[in-house]
Amino acid sequence: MKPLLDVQELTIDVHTPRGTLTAVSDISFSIAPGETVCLVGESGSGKTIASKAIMRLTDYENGRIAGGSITLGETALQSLPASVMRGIRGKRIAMIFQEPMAAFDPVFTIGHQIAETMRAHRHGRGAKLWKEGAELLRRVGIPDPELRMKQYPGELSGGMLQRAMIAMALSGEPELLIADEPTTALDVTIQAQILDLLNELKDSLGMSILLITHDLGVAAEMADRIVVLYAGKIAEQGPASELLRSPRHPYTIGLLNSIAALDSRPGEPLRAIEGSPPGLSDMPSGCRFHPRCAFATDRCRESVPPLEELGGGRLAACWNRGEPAVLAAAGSIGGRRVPAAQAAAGRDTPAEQPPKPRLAALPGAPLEAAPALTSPLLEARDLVKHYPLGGGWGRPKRKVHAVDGVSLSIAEGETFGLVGESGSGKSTLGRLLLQLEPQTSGQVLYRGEELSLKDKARWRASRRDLQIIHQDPYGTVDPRWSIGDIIAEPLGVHTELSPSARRAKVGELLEQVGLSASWQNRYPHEFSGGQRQRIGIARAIAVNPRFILADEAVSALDVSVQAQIVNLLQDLQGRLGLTSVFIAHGLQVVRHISTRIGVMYLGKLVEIAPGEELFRSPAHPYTRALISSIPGSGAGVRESFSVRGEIPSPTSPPSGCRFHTRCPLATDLCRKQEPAFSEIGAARAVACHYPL
Amino acid sequence: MLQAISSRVISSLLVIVGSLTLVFCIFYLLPGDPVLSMVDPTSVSPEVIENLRHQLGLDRPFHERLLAYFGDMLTGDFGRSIVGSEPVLPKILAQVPATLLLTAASALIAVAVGVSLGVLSAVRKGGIIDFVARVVGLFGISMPTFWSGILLILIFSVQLRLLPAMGSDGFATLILPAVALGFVGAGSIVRMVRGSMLDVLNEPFVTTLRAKGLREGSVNYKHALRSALIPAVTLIGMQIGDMLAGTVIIETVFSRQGVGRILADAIMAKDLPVVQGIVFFTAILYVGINLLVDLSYAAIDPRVRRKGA
Repeated sequence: MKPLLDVQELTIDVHTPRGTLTAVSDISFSIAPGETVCLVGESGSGKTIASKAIMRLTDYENGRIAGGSITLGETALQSLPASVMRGIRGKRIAMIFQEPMAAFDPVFTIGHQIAETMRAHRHGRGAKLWKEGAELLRRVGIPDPELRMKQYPGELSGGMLQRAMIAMALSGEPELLIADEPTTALDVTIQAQILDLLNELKDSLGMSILLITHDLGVAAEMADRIVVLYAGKIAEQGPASELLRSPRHPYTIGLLNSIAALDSRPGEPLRAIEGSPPGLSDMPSGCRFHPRCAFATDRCRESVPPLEELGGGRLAACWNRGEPAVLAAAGSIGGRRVPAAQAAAGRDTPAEQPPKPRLAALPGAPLEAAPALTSPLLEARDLVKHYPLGGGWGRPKRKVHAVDGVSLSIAEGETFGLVGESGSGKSTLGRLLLQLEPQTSGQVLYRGEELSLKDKARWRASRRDLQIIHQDPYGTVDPRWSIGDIIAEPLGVHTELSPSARRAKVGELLEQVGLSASWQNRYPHEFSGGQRQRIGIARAIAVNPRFILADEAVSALDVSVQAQIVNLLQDLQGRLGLTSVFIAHGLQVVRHISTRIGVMYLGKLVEIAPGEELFRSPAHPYTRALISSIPGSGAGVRESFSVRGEIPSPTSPPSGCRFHTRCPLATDLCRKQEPAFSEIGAARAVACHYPL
Repeated sequence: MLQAISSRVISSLLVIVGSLTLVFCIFYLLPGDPVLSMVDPTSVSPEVIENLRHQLGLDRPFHERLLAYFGDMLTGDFGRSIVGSEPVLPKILAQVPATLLLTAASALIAVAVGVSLGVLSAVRKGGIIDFVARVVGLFGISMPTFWSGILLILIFSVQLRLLPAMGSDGFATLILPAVALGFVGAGSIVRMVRGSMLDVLNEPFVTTLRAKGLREGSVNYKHALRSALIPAVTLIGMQIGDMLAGTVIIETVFSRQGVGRILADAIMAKDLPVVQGIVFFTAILYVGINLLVDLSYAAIDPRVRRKGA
């Protein structure tokens, strides 16, 4: 069939203060009518700029199409005059974006912005366009469309806005919809809803979709064909199912291995790709993946591998392509049973190369045996945290019920995973456990004694034992401090070490987290995101804590780097005998790293279970809904158990069971009476009237 | 919305009371005796001076004087000028129109030049307009008005003989002082609007607008400008206040009638009632301008509007 969109040898330059750099070189792919193609890649892969180039939005930014062609039907887009191109945007090609909140103009109503899009491409009376707009909102599943039309973007939730964005994109009846990470900023449950909506629309309207994502799970669920980009070049492309089943390029193989998939064994190291994606200004020679590739040869270092046909519509750019022996070796050499740290040793990756082999492989044993036997290290008793919302002037005072009566105990040596949608209160609970802020009521016990902000002396002493690793590796280190000083600061507070002993200790710590001891005098901006997260970890373990709170510690990192950090955390935990709470919205990662998992919903703990069991047989409908909304986990499961709507506002949580408004199994009892949090077997508890 | 306005009005009243108290305290603490500037101590007996002091209430304790002062203000009695002994209120009111006219004309110039140049320079970043805007910005904020005023007089009155250098009758005499005063405001407004416009043009929603196929004019002037004006409005409010204050200098430089002019004279003569009256008048204007700024926020930014509801 003749392709709808045909991109040939597209090269895009970007102008930067340091000169012109090439963001995308020589990529070719096409999209057939009604087909979904996924561009998959990590940061710096060029996937977003490539999608913008198709719309010629690069004209308005610092990018420039330096070569190649983009053909839509019969029209060569790369050379169209701006005025003609404008008629294609929003009409024949529409686009939706990553952050629905930021993608709408905040000072115009939704309805105005939709009607304006229609008016850009055709004539029509205002009232008629408005009505059509409302109809579109209804079409994408927005309740009360007439009301929503009159609202401003700030008044809608992220999920609703993304639906509205899709409605706006549909208003021109486009042949091609470009979706740039449309669900990355959303919760998994909402992500599942949006992906379903996109699939349904594609089928009923017969449009093609170009989906840009970093998430292979999303690609697996959506794509007919997948194009894997690495550092501005295509590494591999082919039909989705075959590409995912038998990837040919080492990068694709590595990416698939890095994902803590549902079938990986918890506690075991993930097979991470070492290093991090290169920046535009320091592209490696030859094959751009060679510094991170376990099978790189001299040929890979010297010359660029061409994208070659492998048959069956598959293409790969690798000098070792299709060599079964080489790829089979990938299974054992880079293998599942070798920790990433070891696999990395002795390879000359410039970015994250460890100076010497460091962590020994760990037996998985302590992770599994620990919890039942030992006493609780940290305990929460009926913790409540309400944040007041400004009332006054006669308005009723309202409050956010962030955490609403949570009791739980964390045993010495265990890794407790905490999951839930945003707004579930998991981060607040984490901060309360560390007593980084005072609770409204309830108690936190550390080793059997109350820990409170009121008892300053004990609180301060406890800081040494209780440490935290934050989500954002960029925002949590002072850019004006050297990393040596950053890591040494807690040592200065909690120990009597002399300056020289401190330096030695910092060096040791840096090596423990896989950085070089000689890098003490460098500054944070010299490091990549993954490396900065390692610095954050070094700072957290500097004073030999007993407990670490990892609050979304890997969420901001590239997939391939995530696996490295997960491995590092697991390694350190075993070696240092740490207890930890691991907060994340990525369910697979939590399952992989945790011994027990707690599920939170609107400030309440709704289920606690050992990680494996929770995933195998969730007892709470919400848990089941969360698990079945993991992309790539099979559409069949999701159809049968999807969760409706969005998490209600924590200012006025629903009566009875807080989940009843979205629960497919809710009854009158659920609406009226709150279920007790009760044991349902060894180490399992659930708060549901009708546990599954 | 009503609630927001009423709370603004109350805090505005507090500002007025605060500024009046402050002026009173400053004059109370200031060394020197206003009576001595009214009469010649060498030719008048001490009893007469003492008597005059008593008449003016200057011998009463601080708190009594403060209370009496506020009592007078509330009843609209601003007292009499110590120097000319005419009532203060009519004296000030007679000058208000001239000063308001000058302030308004300057504000108009500042906003018109500042906003349009700021927007154009952001839209055509790196072009000639951008260069002009940056020059205006630089000179506007770095040239004091008394200097730019004199410069304007030299060029347009002395050299080119196009416009009158002084006086306050007719449109022609308004141009130079308004330009001198407006130029300062224009300088800061240009810089602010340019910066905030550039920020907004980098927002993701601008990409959405272009991806919808909107014309650049619509992207720049309908959407981006509205968001860019939000921070600029605050600055414009402050600038108008500054211009009001700036009339003191400009009216003197251009020998214009006006409140600023009599304020300058009154301060020189330690004429407390006149100064107090003018502070009262200025505080009300200042507060009024700020109230307008707050209301215009609501007009530009619906988020503000909805929050009040």
